[in-house]
Amino acid sequence: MPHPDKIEDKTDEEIVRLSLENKENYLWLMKRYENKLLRYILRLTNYPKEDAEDILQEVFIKAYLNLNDFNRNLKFSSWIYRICHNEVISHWRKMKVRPQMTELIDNNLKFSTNAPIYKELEIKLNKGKINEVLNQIPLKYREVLVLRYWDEKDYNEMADILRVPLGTVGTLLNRAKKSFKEMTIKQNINF
Amino acid sequence: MKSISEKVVKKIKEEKINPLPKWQFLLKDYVIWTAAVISGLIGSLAAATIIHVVLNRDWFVYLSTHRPPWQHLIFDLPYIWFAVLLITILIADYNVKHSKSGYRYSFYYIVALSLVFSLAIGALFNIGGLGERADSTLAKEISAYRSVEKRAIELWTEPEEGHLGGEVTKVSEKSLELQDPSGKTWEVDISKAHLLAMSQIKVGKRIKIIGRLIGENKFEAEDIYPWIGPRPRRIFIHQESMLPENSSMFK
Repeated sequence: MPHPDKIEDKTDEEIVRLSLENKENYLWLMKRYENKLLRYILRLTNYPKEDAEDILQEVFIKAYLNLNDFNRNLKFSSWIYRICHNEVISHWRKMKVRPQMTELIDNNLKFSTNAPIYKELEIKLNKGKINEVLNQIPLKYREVLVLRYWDEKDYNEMADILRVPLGTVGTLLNRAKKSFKEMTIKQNINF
Repeated sequence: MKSISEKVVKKIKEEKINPLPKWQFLLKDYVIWTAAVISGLIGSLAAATIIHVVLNRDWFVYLSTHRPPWQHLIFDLPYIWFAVLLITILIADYNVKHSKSGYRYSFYYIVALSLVFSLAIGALFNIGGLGERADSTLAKEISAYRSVEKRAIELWTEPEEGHLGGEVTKVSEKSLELQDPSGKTWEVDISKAHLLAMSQIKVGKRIKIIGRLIGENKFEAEDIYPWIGPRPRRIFIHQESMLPENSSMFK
């Protein structure tokens, strides 16, 4: 059994290497990302927590299966977010084919106080209203807003997660903001 | 209650799940890059043939025909090779996008890069004679394909349009005898063409002549060019140009 004190100090990339040697080390890697990725899935999908947890389990299993394919030119966080992104999209497509009733839940979103959108809206906004709008814009736009303003990913990380050119990230983000704004007008929501 | 991470570790242990071996991912990468290289080489061959066709079509003659030059241009462009080049560029884009870091490049960037690569390697291939070989091989395999050679034969058997070509069978001071590709023999008056390099007009040599039809199997030459060559090198020119006999442009 690895010594937790030691392994906790290691970088993600080092733990990847150690996980390939001993599968128990993978636990430490998952622990680092469990909450972040769960929140990410909940923000994107608005699924019940149990469903989001099922998706997350699949993400961790897939990441483990593909651990030898981890591209060391990327950050591990970008790599696992990408797997999570793919899994959410895949799940979302399946749900589109077989629509199911999903319980609307309060994700209890925690905003980063450093996020620019938070600073801009902090005084007037209502978190519930933001979620309401966010859930009504297309998934591809919702995702870039979540990655940028909730998970605070930079453009390079977003490009790696979404597997798009850097320039496309900026375009997507602009369209997402526009879509968000249009939805607030359509829904007659004022912040 | 167990966390998700703990549940996953338990599942990994119980179901004896192991990471997929590295060679599988390496093999996938090799397949993608090998396909990219093969499509790049095919694209370069297409580019080489396009370069060969463009350099060796007798475009200059189109200015002296009755039909507008754009009609010749549309008729004579090597569309099949343009299509091959386009397909290989799209395959290159697909391959690059499916490589580990290829998603970072935009479609336009990959297309531009593939085009530059294909043209550069294609130019080298063409210097090595691959463009000509591909052009003539395809002409042998597909009868409808119009190679540089086939098109040249068509073009230079239009005496009424002022173009005549064929093999020299007899040479005298003021005329020569020519057999066109259909086997017909022509008497060509070369008295109005200024003689600059008589040594290049030999029996058995193939030439192209611009001039006019002056009678039954009779033709009057204005300009004469050798049959093969990337650019037509003039053997005879009009008298009025008065170029010196040893001018380097005719060598």
